[in-house]
Amino acid sequence: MIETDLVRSCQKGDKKAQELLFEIYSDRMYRLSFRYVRSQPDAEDVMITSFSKIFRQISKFSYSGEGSLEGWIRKIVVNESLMLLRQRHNFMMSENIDLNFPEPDLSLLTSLEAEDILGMVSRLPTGYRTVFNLFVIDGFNHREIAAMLEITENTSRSQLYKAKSLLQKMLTREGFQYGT
Amino acid sequence: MERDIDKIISLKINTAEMTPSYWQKDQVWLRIQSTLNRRPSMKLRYAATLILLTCCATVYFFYRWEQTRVQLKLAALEEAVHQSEKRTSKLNKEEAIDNCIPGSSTVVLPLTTKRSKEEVFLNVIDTPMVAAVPEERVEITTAPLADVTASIEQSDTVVHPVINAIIGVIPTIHPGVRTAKARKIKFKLPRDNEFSDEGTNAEYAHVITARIN
Repeated sequence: MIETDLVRSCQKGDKKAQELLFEIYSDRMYRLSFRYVRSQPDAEDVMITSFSKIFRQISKFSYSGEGSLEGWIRKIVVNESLMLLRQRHNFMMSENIDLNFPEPDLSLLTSLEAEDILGMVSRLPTGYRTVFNLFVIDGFNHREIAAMLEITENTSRSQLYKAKSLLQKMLTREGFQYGT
Repeated sequence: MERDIDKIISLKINTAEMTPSYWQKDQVWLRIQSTLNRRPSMKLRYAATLILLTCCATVYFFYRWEQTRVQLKLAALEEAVHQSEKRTSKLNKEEAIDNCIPGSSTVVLPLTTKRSKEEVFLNVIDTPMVAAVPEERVEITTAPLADVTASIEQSDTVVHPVINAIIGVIPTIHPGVRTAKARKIKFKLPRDNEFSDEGTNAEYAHVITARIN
């Protein structure tokens, strides 16, 4: 079944189509959610709320080419993950740093395996990790992040800077600077 | 440069996320289905209906209560107006009688001046008057007119407590003069000089028959 047919069938409330959609996207969405919430039960809760929302709101979705469905689903999962994080973490921080400092060098990070990178990112504090996930991995800009977390753009920038600085420190501490 | 590094990291992680991992996929799917199939419970429907009915009843009873209150107010006002009209009419009657001037052919009726009973009574006291207890003969004690007597006609009207024996003149009430029932008449005694100066009162010099209420 091609994506457009899948969307149309889901819009009609077809149970089979819904199950197929869940089958296709659930694994990557679970991992996406886990990257934010860092706990299996929480990630599963996010999956339940996200897919319930997806199936209820799919009638409003208009297909606009390949990848648009996945992008729409990812956005919902990210938003639900942030909703859950917001219940436990206060993002109302106003940190401003001098952004003229040189950007931390994370070139060494690119040489690592994805699982290693995820391991290091998961050790960051919640605020830093969230902004890093949103900006670096999921590709949102600072304006969007500020709106999603209800913080200022400068706070978002400073959080990202600190996240990168911490990652650089971790890389140095663990000897990755020598290319090992 | 930094953006390139970010893109590489993003690509690596997104690729890694394509690989399946272990989680309670089936249970999550069942819970999603149950969430989608969940209908609003009957309890909620009953509660909503109950709230709606309560609101309707409250509005209805408030409306009824307000209506009754207004009706009671109106009735009280009507009663007050009625009482006031009665009182005004009574006072007007009394005053009309007060203004009866002996010898004059007309009776001046007040227009709208309201006077209390006490005021009216004081006015009566100030003026010489004839009054008597029913079925009693009244002695006339006016000095210059010692021989004048008065006979009393019985009537049902109120008897004033103060008895003054006065010689007076019964004013003739001409037709066309607005007087109510002539039950209560007050007599005004002409003064001595009036009496003698006019010279036309010879016919009253001996006996005056008065109807005293």
